[in-house]
Amino acid sequence: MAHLRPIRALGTGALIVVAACGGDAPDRPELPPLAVSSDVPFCQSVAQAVNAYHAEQSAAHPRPADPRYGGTVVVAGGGDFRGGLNALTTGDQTDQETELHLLHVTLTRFAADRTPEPYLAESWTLEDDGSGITFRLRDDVMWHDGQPVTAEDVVFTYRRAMDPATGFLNVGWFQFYDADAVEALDDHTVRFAFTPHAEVMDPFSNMAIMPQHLLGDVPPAEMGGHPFGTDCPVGAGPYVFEAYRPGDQWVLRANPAFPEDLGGRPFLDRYVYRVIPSSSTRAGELAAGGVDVALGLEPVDAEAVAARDGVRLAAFDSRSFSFIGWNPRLPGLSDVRVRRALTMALDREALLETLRGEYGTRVETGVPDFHWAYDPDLQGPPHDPEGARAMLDEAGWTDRDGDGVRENQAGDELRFDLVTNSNTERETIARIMADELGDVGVAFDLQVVDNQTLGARLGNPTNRDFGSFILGFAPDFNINERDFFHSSSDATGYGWSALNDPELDRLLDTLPRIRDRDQARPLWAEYQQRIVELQPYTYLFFSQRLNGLNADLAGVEMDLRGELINVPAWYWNPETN
Amino acid sequence: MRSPLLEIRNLGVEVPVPGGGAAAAVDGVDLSVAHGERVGLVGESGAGKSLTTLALPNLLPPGVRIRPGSSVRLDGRELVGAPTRDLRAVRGKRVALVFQDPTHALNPALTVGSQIREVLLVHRGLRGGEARAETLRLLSEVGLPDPARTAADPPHRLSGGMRQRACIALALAGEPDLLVADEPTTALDVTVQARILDLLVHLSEARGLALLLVSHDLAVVSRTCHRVAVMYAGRVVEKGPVKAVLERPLHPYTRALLAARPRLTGPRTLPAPIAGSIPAPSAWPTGCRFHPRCPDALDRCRREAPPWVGLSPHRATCWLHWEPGGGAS
Amino acid sequence: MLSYAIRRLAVAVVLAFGVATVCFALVWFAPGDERSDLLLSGRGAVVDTGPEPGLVEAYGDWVGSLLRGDLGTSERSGNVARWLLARLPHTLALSVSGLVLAVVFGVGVGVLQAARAGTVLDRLLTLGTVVAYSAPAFWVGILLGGAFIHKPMELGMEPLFPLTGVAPPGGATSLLDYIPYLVLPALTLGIVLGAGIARYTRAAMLEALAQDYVRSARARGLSEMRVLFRHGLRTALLPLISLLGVYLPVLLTGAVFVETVFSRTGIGLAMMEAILGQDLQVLMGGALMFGFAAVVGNLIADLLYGWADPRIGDAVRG
Ligand SMILES: Nc1ncnc2c1ncn2[C@@H]1O[C@H](COP(=O)(O)OP(=O)(O)OP(=O)(O)O)[C@@H](O)[C@H]1O
Ligand SMILES: [Mg+2]
Repeated sequence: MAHLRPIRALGTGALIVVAACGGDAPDRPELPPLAVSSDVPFCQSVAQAVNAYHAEQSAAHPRPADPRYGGTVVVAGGGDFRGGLNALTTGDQTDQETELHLLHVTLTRFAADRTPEPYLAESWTLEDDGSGITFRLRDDVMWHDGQPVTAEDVVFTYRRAMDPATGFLNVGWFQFYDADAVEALDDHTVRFAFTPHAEVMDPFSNMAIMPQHLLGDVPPAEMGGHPFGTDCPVGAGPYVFEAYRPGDQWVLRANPAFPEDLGGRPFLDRYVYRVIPSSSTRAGELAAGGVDVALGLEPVDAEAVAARDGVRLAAFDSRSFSFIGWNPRLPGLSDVRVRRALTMALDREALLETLRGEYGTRVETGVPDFHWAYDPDLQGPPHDPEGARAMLDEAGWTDRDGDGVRENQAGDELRFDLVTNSNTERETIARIMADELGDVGVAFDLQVVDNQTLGARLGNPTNRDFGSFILGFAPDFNINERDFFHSSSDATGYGWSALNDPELDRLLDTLPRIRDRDQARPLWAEYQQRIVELQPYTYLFFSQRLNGLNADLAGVEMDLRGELINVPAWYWNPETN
Repeated sequence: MRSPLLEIRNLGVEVPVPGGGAAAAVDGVDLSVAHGERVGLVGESGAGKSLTTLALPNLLPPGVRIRPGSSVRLDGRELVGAPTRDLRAVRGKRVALVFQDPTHALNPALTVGSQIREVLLVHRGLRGGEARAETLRLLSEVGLPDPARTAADPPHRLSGGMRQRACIALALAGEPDLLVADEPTTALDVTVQARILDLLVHLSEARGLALLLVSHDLAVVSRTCHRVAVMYAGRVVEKGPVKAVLERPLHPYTRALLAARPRLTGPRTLPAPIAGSIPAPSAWPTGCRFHPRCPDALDRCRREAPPWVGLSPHRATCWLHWEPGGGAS
Repeated sequence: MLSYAIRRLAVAVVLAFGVATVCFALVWFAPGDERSDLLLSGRGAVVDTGPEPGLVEAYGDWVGSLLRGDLGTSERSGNVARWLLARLPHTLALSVSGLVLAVVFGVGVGVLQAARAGTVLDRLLTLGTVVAYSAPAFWVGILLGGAFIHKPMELGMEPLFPLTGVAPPGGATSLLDYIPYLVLPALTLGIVLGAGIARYTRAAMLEALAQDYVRSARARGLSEMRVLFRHGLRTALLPLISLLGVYLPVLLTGAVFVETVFSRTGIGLAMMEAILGQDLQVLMGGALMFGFAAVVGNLIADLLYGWADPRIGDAVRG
């Protein structure tokens, strides 16, 4: 026993750790029977069925004697899953991961090399011409209420996701899908039909399958507020929903009936997600033993965690990057020279150092260095305030009245709204930016707003109410920036910085259709080069994801694919406990 | 002869003076009360009557203290300097106080009965039904018509006279030997005053209770007490059997008080030329303290404090009656 | 007493109605587009059912849905009433235990100070209460967290209490499970509010102790404890009861900060988040709840006062 680090007696997981010194098999008490309850009519019968099936399966599959089984893990994150755990309606990172890896199942999942491997689908055949794919489903995966998962559920899920009325956020995945793209060939066979395109497999690892027998009658438009998501979400994954305390906790239970081939019953009996908005409080709770995993720490808190005994830091690349967006519809910002000059005036290296220290990577486009399409030879605009000044002069913006802000011939000032949401990191970026760009004669009016307001100001195609903004974004592995930069996206939500550049349009139209990566690579290089030339955004950095972990928690894998990818394989180390 | 119940010797009480220091607001008072005896203490406002009574069980307000060398003996036991615990056993139990203003003497938030029961519990260990019965008995003893109801009432439902009766019942609850009543009727209607005084006399006689009655008014004292002491500016200036003092007052101050008697209801002012009032303790004159107001003041009165004159038990401190060699005029 | 109670109740109902109306008016007359969405949200998900109603109609609808316990729906938080009611018990537990501690601290310290008025102890306590009184709740919370959680950890011990939350992960199995989570937050509120109560109690006690009936009580030979607590404190505390009614909103706003510091998912934290997220529905629902709580608190205080001070009942009757 190197150190006795009992987590305070907070529920089962804690007790075990205290009790289990001396190398004996830890004695982890069994949890009381699952008791999902709800006062919502829809959920009452659902809860009953889930409770009954869980009791039956718990009896049929008692916890194995392996000392890794049992216990609770408490994971703390910054936000509640407001929309619940209905995969058709949610889109934030942690709730999506909870759906994909814990509560629900997907057709395929990403192996460590990011190639798809079987999950609900035991096999698949991609048609040679690339216009369709057929999945063969396992027949031993059950919904948590005991119903079998069938092809009907898959068809239902994808049809709902494609239906604009549902409001599924990633509807862009299905850009190349036929109108009647999904059909069940038999109970356990599904076929998708589409125009050939790149990265066909991507959605199948990202779309959790939802129960048709429960949600089939819910009109797509009512999916959003439906109590299924918050009161009685039923999945088929390794963890079963137990309880939701709004704003506070989500509690999940091990599914004793999860198929052996897919990992079987998870080690940990219980998975608790706690909402703790402040990063430093999450880190403090980790140190105090109140939580076992603290997700999404800010660098300063991560450093404190790294310095402590009994906890460790998991720092790994993530898909999320920060950038400054420009509104190319405005005088000044419509000129590519001005946009380039703005990027050049900003010391992005220093910015990264200040904000993230070692936990981040500079980028020049939305294609990160770990992506297969990344062009290692790409050169971004250098940090060169002098050059920036010259370029602004050349573009016709000079300080004509000596007030420190440049004007054009008509006397319009080079001054823009700078909108961002309240977030320490982004507000710091805004301050540094206003400072450094002020030095070259560009003025900003900072406006800190909440997320929704920010969304409304950027996302309204008829009124793009901003000059510039600071935002973070986490693309899929399948990068497709058509919605952002294509000239046609000027009329759609994400097209806040849409450009009218035929060459870029051509690349954006072509890239998603090329199925062969080797063939696509040179075009991707061209694309990245073009983005650097056009500077629709000033790209800042990719952030590393910083998670704090209790050092006794073993088996944890966190990487680009996510931080909850293998929760069923997490366990409390019987050696150190 | 039996030793007196209460024996005050050379009592001095010092009060703080604005601007610092202390002055003796009570200055060498001698007074005794025998078992069952009723003694009156009379004087104008500011004479030091209240301080004298409060000094007995040391209930003086903060900042006011008994001067060293004072003595207050109860049945021969010294109270000055006694520990608080002993004093608490005296308060209410041996010496009970009734104050001038019955409105404020009762706790407004507690029923009359509960305040009486509290004393019964503390001093006589009575509780429950016993305490309730004794409460009713006490209330009827002081002449309250509906004891049960009065016991359940908060004080504000009683009239002034009833409240004072309740206060007296409270005072009796500890079965004291001495009742000290500081102007018990001043705050009441004239019609009620007489009845309260009658009650006090009655109780004193029925219970063998000694009474020290403080008053402005010689008339009040004359109908209740055996003996009287007249106070002026912190000193007793005349004392004796009530009858003697009233019929043959020795001190000009006593005479002035008597002259003010008829004005039973109006403001009690002294007639000219001794109009005015007692100065503050820090400004007391030398010699006889009454001399600035005394119509007959001699030169000597201004310089020297007067000696006791007259034949015991009726005596006064006044140069007018002084004859070298002693004796009264 | 009964008629007094009924009269107070009637006043409380009118007040509650007033609170609701003020809330409505604030939103209705506020500039911006939020208002219609907010006030019409009680009508269900679909808002565009014909022309926008006038003030009277909108008010009627709104009061109607309020009476049905419907506080509307918010995009961030869903059914607002449900969202807030789920959190209400935690805020109540915090407020009530905080209030109890505040009264115990405040009265204890105040009485001690009055009994020892003018001494060094009195002066030290005065200093302490002034500091605690002017200290922001969140600051006290952070200090307590430091003393009971971080300090023991630095010394290699177990933290004495959980840092955040309201119940053990996975849920409480008995009411006792909630208590460790309540200690520091309630202590924080207790200290902050208790300081005010102590200052009040000291002054009221000094005044009460100068009363004739306190001297009379002493003259009856009662022990100093009896004099202080039964006679002095009892009357000094009567006004405190109604003061507590006034304190209720202070208590609730205190809860906002304390809940934020200790990440307690109560109404206060919900309101804090609603402010940051501009979730007007939740904000208005929370304001309504706080307003109603203040009315109920005052009602309870009035009734207690009438019960504790016999003069009040009589004054109303007579
Ligand atoms: N707490 C006190 N501090 C300072 N001076 C006091 C205090 N109490 C009484 N005195 C002074 O002592 C003197 C005697 O006061 P005391 O109350 O004994 O007079 P009294 O004869 O009872 O008069 P009254 O008829 O007005 O009650 C007065 O001059 C008064 O101002
Ligand atoms: Mg007096």
